[in-house]
Amino acid sequence: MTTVTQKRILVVDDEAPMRKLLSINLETCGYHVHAARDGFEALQLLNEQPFDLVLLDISMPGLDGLQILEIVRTSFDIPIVIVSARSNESDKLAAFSRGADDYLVKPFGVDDLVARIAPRLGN
Amino acid sequence: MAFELAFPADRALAAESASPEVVLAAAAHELRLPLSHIKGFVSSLRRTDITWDTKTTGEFLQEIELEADRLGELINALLSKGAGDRRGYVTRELRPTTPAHLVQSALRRAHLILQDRRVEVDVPQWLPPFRMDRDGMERVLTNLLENAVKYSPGDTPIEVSAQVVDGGDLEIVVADRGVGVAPVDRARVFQPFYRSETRMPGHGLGLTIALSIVRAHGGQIQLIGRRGGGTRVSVRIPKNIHTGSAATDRSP
Repeated sequence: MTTVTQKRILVVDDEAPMRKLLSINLETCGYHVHAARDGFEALQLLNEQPFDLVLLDISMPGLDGLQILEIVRTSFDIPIVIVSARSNESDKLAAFSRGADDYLVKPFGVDDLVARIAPRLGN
Repeated sequence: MAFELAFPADRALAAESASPEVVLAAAAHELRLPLSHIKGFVSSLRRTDITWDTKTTGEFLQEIELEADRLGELINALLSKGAGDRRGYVTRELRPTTPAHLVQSALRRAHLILQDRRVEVDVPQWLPPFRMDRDGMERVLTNLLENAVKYSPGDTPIEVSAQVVDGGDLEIVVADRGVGVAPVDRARVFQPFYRSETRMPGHGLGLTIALSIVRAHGGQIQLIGRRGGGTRVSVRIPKNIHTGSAATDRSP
């Protein structure tokens, strides 16, 4: 299944069901998925291996998604899609002003997610 | 008649609480999480481009059921106007349950949260059964395990122990080697959506729910600091439970 062109996605979410859900579905779409449960794990993975896209939750213990977004933006040029239960306009603006490429509000359907990330991965 | 104890968590409940707007926003966020898991697993099952095998389908359905339960408990906790309300949790059937059985069931229920996290269990098989609402007490332990996982480094163990203490009460302790909770916050974290100013992340409703369930058993729950860093959460369930509210459990 692993091919040279398989795109790599990093999922960052402190909720285990969400990590499982995203990983299983994206893998069936042919992506290679790594999941991190917090910001520190995410930054470590990003330093260790290349990724083509990051799916990032905002409300997490430790480093929150916005802090991670700022850090990642200073060093990496990869699409970052926010996946958050925060639905206020101010939350979205805070994410976009820090360089988020897209913002998906939970709850969302899997098809919606796949349709949004596919073009960013050249599909 | 009431089984009154000095609940350490009580003292903070009358203290400062967040504004209605803040509570409402936090509540909405908290409700969206299980809802987003349900929606996610349902939409996975409905995908037309793939056929899931029976095992995966079963797992997804189990997740949906667990998250629906979680949603129901959140709603109960919200309706209880915080943990200060005695109506917060009504115990279901009280059944004799050994601590070993309870802890094993809770660990099974929390397997997705725990994943490959090391858990050191010190719960003797010979500890006697205690009458409890098994489902509720499993939820208490699951919430405590979830906090331990979230707020401590992944390479440190989580410890679960149980013992019979003075007077024959049951004490169950869930301990971690995480950042710990400042003494000033140890009672306040039981408030719904309490967020400390000392950089501790918010606990949402997990501890509020745990407190209301433990209290419905006439027990107490307490956060204790640890030498060397981390948190110990002690749950005490009385030997003779007097729920005070449930008609199912009146003494003759």
